[in-house]
Amino acid sequence: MNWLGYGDITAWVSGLPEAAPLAEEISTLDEVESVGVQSLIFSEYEIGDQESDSEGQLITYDPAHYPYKFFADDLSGYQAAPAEIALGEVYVSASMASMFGVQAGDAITFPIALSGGDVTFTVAGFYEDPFMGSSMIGMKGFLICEQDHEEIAGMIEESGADSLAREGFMLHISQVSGSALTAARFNAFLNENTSLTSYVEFTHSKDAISGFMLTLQNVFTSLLLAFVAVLLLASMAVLSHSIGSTIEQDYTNMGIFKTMGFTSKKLREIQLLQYFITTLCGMGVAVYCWHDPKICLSNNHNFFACHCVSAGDYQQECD
Amino acid sequence: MREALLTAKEIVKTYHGAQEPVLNQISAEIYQGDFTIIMGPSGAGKSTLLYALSGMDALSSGKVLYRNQELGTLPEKKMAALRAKEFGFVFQQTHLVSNLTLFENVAVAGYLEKGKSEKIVKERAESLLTQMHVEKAGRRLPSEVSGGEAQRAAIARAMINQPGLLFADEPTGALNRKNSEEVLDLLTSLNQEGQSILMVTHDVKAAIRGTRILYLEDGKILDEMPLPPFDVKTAKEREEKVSAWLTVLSW
Repeated sequence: MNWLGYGDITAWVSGLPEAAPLAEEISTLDEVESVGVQSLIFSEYEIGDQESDSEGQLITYDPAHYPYKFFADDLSGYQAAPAEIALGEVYVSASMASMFGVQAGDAITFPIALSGGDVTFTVAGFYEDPFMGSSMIGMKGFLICEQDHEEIAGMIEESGADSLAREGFMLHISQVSGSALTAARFNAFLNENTSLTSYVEFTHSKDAISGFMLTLQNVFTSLLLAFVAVLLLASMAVLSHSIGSTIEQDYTNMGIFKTMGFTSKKLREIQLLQYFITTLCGMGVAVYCWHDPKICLSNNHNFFACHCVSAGDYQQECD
Repeated sequence: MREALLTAKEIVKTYHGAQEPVLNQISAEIYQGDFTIIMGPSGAGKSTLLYALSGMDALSSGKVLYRNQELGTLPEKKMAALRAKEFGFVFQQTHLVSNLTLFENVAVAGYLEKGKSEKIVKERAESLLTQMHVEKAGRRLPSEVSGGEAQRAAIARAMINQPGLLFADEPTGALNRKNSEEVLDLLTSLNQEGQSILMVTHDVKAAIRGTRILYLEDGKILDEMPLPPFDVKTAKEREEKVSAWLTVLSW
């Protein structure tokens, strides 16, 4: 998000022909450092026989201001960003590959208006959507060229009430550095001091979007942590019982050793030594098991690994 | 005058919560070279006396001296060293360590005595196993040998450090007659070679192996009977004599 210059708050607005006046209004506020604007079109979409359950956003590709990163077709890494997007082509979020099985060359149809007002694009490849996590909860982005954007905007205007899509903008609003306002208070400040609420469809703070991005990881991590906690408790209980039973079974042996001349201290040392050696061996095995699978995973070229890597990159940049 | 190895002076042992003491002001001496037997009815305090005299059990009052050294005042380290060097124990249940072979059970006791090399300990262990007629079973686990073999290995373990006194608590109690005789023959043989033994038993056939029998009842030594060294030819008469004595004592 930082790479693309997204702000502390991103606001999706519609119902206004130009975003410049609203952006100007917002940028005059003391707490606002800058406002970036991206044109987009809200529309549902179809891939094959699958219909979307929420709107996507067709974003005009502007590499000069918003230099998105692009994945290789097999999602194994990055490739050079195209200078422009060809007419009739679209770059989709990498999450579309796992959610809809989308591949380069597939067709995506956007119903712009009733009575045959559909626009079909060919998938040219995948781009790194900064709203990856949010892609999973409905905010799917599609990059198109400016010419296609204008054509669709024209269709929307012509179809009037029959329009199924609508024009909008993404406003990237940055707070001044050192501002004492929290994201929620900053949002409230904007709402109170501008006409943003008249046009806004929804807003998200940078932290919220970052959180969305990590939703899957957080869910998995939480499940894993819960599993680990339960496993740890169970292991400790079993271990405690095992050690207790073993020591009880050893009472007789310890008694015999005492008659032979072992001191209590010596017997304690022997008991602790055997558990210490076992613990060391267990730690050694655990370290080895941790180290080796990590190397295997880093060499794995599947989508999930790529997704996590790119999310990790974003997290680092956000930090 | 015979040398007293072990001296008990008015020892009393009362278990927590008990009304009556198990050992009631017992004074006795155990002599060098004797095969001393402690006999008595069930609950008389025989095993308690054995463990009190060996320092394995704390006394409520009184003293036990081994070669004029009071056992009750020794710190744990010195007591452990004394047990390692001077005392040997043989129990009714052999109490061999289950995951060590017979040889290892015997040797481990030998390693406790400081100053002995591993080679010497191993040689002595082999020698004792041979003396006890269990050399062929030396590499087997206790679960893989007969009760008699295990008990003979236990005696070898007790003898590894050439103890001043061998304590035996009903060593034939869990054995059949044949194995019992073999074990008793071994103990008799050891005593005749000069080993001092203090043994608890309720078996008259075991008791007649001794050279001195102490009769214990209700925590007191009521009487004692000296006997000449054991001779198998006179075993029957010896048994009759001891039985008659016990009958007088209401055994």
